[in-house]
Amino acid sequence: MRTIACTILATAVLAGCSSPGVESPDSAQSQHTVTDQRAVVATDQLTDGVVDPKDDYLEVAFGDSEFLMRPRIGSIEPWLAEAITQTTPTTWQIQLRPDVTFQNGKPVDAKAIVSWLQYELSGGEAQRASLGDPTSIVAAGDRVVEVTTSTPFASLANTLAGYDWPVYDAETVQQVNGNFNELVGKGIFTGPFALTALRPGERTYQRNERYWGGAVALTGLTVKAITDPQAAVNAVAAGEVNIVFDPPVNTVVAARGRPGVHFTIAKEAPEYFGINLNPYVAPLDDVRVRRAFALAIDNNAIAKGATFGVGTPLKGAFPSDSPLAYDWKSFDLPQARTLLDQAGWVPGPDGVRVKGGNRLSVPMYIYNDNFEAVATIAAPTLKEVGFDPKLIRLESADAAPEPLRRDGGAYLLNLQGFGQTGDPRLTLAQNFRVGDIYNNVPVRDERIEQTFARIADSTDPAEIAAGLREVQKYNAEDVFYIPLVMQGYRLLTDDAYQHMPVSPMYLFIDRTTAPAG
Amino acid sequence: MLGVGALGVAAGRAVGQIAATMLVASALAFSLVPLFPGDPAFAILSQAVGPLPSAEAIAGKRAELGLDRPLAERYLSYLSSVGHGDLTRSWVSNTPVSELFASRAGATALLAGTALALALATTIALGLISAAGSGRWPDELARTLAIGGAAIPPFVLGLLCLQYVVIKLGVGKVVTDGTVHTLALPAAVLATGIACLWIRPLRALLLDALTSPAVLVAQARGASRARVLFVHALPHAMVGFLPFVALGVGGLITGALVVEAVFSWPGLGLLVVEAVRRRDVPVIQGFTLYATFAYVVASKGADLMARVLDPRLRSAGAWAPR
Repeated sequence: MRTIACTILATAVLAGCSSPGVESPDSAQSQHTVTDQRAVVATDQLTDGVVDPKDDYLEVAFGDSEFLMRPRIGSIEPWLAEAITQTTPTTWQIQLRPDVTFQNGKPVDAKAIVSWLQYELSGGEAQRASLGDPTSIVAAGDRVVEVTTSTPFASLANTLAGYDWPVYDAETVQQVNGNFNELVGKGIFTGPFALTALRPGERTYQRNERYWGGAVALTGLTVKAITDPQAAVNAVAAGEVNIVFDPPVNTVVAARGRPGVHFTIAKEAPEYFGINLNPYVAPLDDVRVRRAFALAIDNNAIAKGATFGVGTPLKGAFPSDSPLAYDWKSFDLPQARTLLDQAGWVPGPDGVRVKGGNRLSVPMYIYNDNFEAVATIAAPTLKEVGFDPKLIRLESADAAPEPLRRDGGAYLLNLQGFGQTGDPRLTLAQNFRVGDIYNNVPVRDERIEQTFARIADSTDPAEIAAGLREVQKYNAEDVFYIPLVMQGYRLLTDDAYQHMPVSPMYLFIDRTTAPAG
Repeated sequence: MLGVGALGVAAGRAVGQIAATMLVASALAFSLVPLFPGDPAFAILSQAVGPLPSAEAIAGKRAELGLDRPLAERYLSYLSSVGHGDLTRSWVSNTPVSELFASRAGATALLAGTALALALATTIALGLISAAGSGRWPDELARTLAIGGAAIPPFVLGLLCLQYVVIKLGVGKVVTDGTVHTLALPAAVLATGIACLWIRPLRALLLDALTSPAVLVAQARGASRARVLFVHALPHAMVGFLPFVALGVGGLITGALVVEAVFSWPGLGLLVVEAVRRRDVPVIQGFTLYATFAYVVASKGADLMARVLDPRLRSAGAWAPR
């Protein structure tokens, strides 16, 4: 799968100009049998009520909703749209597939898409901004929609492959006047399974007999809310649940050795763990100290210990086999010691290095158990070279920036990996560009800002890849961000579904989902 | 008539106390918002699988939730809504909280009601056995069971049940459905914790009752041991036991949170556990009010019932609710 992803990465048009060749939505897995079976799925994400479809991100995982473009790792591909093309810097054309209907039978034509986009944009300024602040959305034909933005906007196609843009029948949604539970049974989405019943802790989906993508293997799904991971493992073991969506990584321990319970993980990973450093406050204001800090962290040990062996250690912001990779992170204690010696930090009586009467203390901010495990595993080797790591538990992720800016140190964080919108620029920018979500300090590096500015509107995959490697090179030189490990989405399954592919993009159920045999 | 009038005054005072308690509870529940770690807007938006929210999205969500308004203003607005029976809307699903509660109250009532009945039956049975055989092996066994049962947290007992009863023996379900078909195990687990806390107090009250003048007179008149226990000692002991039942309602509420999560029982407990995870503050606030109301009503109800049942408590000046 990783080879496939890399091939896609190497050949795909990264900036959102989709391939004109249109295949069935899941042609790669089109060999399947229509069955008379239902699957029972468990998730800890289920809400009691139906949420406003414009805020919904979950239905796509159940095969209920679909997007105009399907996200892949580092790329996007046609889904409900045949293509989304930038015709001028401020104009995009959405070319729709023929003969696509909502589950309720209404056509997914230009009129429906215009209505949907307008309803989506009624969600507020943030929603408008994420689509480039459109000034007009018009039907330019039965199956063509033209979107004009106020300023040049290169990411429209990628944005429309994001989880908060499921396509739905906006006309029907508006008719329920905010009583979204009334949407049950209305078939507002386009996917192979339609929501037909709702009760506390459980949803029922039936096969969409008129699914535009072809025959659907299962007759339906029952989705149950199971919040306790141990209960999820037990439910699979007891034969009450076939598939559990994305259980915590530690479930692998509970599942190990249990007959009839299988834990699988997507090889391509959308979730990355890393460390933000504050390069403006001592002692990390010295680049040699930051490099030593990075060299003293063993990513292999973190992958093994903190992710129970299911994570993959990283050497750069992207996996080593990605065409975007720039590997630099290594584990080298002697080199770390040498750098600290060069920086003037000498070992003190208790092993912690000192300089000018100051100890080599580094606050490490953590906000959940995962990061506590990461920091605990990293601490011994940091101490070995003379650091004094101080683990500081914060209440939540958003509590980190203030102490990080004020007191300096290192902040452990995770970020959604490249592929969530299909645009790796957005992923990398999150850590390095001023004003982006994970640039918590914020670090401001003019070289990085200029590189991002240069590739922002580019549609040339080679130019984008070169720019992203350049940004990573600057980071490797100055060590603002240390990559640690990545981990993919996970499934717990019974014997019948043990070979079910794990979508790296949280698109678990599709028309081909079926038990083995 | 005088007794009935006094009872009415006592009931009126109880209602006043309930109202005052609810007001305090609403203030405490509302003070949860600033006490919650981090920014609820960030927490809600970051539930999504997609990229984490932008600063604009967070600001928009804060405005939508009213978090940009002064706390006092928000509290008064909340109080007004609650006063009109509106527990506001879930921050996660935008569904009215009262609607969410209504859809799950039946399952919780079934579980709690059954557990309460089971706990009472078990407590009375073991309490009687223990008191009747005081100092002998049935008494020792009953007390050991009570101590052991009280020492095991409900979630451990629940997991053990799932592992050995459901998985190994194939009896019952891991994922329950909120109906009588899957009720037995979660109700038994919930009842066990409460019964084990009740057995020893009831035993002590029964032993006390067995030495009361009324029972001694009954024994002197030749009443059988069973008649002494069931007709004389038990009703006598039950008056003193009522406050423990009221306390048990508190145990039921907190126990249900755990048991519903372990058995995926689709009741209010599971809803609030989920709400805590998602920082769905209106649901947590609503549940706090509901739990306070249930506990206070049960407590005051037990007080009133004790006075109705026990003529001694109806003496002058004894009507003031405790």
